[in-house]
Amino acid sequence: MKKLRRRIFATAGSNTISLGTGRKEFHPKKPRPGLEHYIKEAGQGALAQINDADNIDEGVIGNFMAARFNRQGNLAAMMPMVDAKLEYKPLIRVEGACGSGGLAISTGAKSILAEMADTVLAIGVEVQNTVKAVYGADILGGAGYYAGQRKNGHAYFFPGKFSDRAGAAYEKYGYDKVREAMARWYERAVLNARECPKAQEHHNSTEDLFAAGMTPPNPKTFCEHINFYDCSKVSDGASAVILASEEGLD
Amino acid sequence: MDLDARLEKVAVLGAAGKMGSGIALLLAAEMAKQKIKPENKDRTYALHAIDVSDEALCGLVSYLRPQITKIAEKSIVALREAYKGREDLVENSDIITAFVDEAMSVVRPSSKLESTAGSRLIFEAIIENKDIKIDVLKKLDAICPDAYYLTNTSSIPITVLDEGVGLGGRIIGYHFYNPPAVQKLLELISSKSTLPEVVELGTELAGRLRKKVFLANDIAGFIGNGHFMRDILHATGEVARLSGELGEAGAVYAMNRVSQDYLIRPMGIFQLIDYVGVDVCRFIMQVMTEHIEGETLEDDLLDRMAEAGVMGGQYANGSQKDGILKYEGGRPAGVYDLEKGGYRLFADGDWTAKSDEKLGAMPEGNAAWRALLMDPKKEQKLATYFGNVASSDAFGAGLARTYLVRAKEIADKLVSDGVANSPEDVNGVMTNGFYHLYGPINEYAGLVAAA
Repeated sequence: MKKLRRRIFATAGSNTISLGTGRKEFHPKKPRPGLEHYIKEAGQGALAQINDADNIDEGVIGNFMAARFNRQGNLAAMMPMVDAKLEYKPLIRVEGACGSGGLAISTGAKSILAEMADTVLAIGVEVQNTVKAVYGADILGGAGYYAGQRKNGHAYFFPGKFSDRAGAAYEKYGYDKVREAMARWYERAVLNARECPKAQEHHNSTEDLFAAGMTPPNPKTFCEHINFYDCSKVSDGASAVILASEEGLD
Repeated sequence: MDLDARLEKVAVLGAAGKMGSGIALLLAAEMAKQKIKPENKDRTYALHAIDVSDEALCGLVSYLRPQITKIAEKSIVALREAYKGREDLVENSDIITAFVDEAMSVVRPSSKLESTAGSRLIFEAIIENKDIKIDVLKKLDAICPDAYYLTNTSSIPITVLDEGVGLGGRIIGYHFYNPPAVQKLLELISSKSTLPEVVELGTELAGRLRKKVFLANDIAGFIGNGHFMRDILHATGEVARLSGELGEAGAVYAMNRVSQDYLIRPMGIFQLIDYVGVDVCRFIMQVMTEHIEGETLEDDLLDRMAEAGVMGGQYANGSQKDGILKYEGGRPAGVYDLEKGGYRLFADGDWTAKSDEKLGAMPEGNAAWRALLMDPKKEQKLATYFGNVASSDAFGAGLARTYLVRAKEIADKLVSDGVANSPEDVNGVMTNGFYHLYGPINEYAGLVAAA
């Protein structure tokens, strides 16, 4: 199939903050909102932009490993917490590692293309600050080939993978050039975050971001070729969007 | 016998105490690292954790497990490598649990001194009392004749202990700072008779424990307390001078602010006294007075506080007890008023406002200690700020100037008296052990002295 047979619209987007280290609200030793809070906040933010939750035909929720991070399975059953009118409607949870939220959108699109639904509420949610990074690395490692690679993988499994790639880039283009490029990348990411009140790095007030990004990698405590600034932080948060056919949009 | 061999049988005396528990933690982790090496699989490791109270020893075990877990979490990269041959350990959590179990299996808590028999390294962290230390070490030496002794005394000359026990130089001052697991500083004190191999072993071990070593000579109080105790005397002297106008509690409040806010230190001098303990400070002063000729270190304010039962110190969980200051949520919230026989809270009445008014405006460029700690322009900002302290007419700035000059005089004298080998060593101890942003021997003191 070369093109979609129905037009699909995405509307009523809603994001929570991305909570984690760096946000002023974040304190590792104090209680924090859980899955329920984020699902509700993002979902209700989307539904508030349409006239009635009853107009939603289906719901899809994307998430990675809540069963380990939060000891919670069957997330689709939590969607009616957003609005009681979602109860008894087709609700499904999808998982595809970092692409879980994207899968929620594509699954919703499939329902619309299949003419099973005209409106789909798609939510992506993660609450991963429930464990320290050293244990989160094990859980996130489940996105790789766990049985075949975890044992011999790096303590920080995925940073280890990216570190290998950074090492290859150093070899090809020279350490200084690549490190400077990655430091600029970090600097740009934080500068962008400062423009977005909901971003995790919004409160980052480091004066010289580039200098921080140039911190030499320390293989004793982290990875051989990358530093902490090269890595995205662990976040808690959710996003929601309503997908609709033309009829659904009406 | 090399360090590896000595690390097979170790004892910590006073293991349930504030310092002893931290030392036991560091050693348990280090011994477990040795134990998991394939070449050491046939060796048996024992860390005899000795204390007088069984109850306190239970507390030690409860303290050690989560702390060793933290060490394992931070060492995960190295631990994965060390455990790579163990196919059953896949996740970081598997590896951390295995390491913690190894470390805990090394620890042998006991209230019986005899259980240390045959120990090759003995860490002493019992009460800061010369006679008790000598008595206990004598008993130990009868059952551990080849042991090297590493004493955590913060004030008693090593020679006094060495001669008192008859160790023939098998002892070295190994002064950890509180809390030992966190503080990087280690003051290493060798006496004239300390055996070179003991110094060598102590230095090697400090490296393994990732401590930053500063050498001090064998004069009571050494560098850290040599400076701190005299710093206290300066502050309490100023309190006596200001009490007439501000009242004693108001003067304590003012000097605590000057030493923290104006000098940009992590905590004020009275908070630091409470952190260490009023009685401990008095004890150290007594020891220094006893062993330093021509100088008497006595403090009337601390004596009166102790007499009133105001002791400070810390609870077993590390939180701060009320002392000269009262604490709420770990922060100073009041001052003990000896006249009233209770605490005067900062929030009650306008007594602190009176002291604040007397101190006057804070010089331009002042910043909180925490804000400057990691600031790459720290030196430049401090120079600008202390330039403003030098030129300020405010009373508080004057107190800060006098304090800064006195702190430098104390430090200079530590060097000229041979306690420290160099100004760098004094500055190193004060910046690494007391977390001062700048050492007492600095250009700012000259700047304000000129003013």
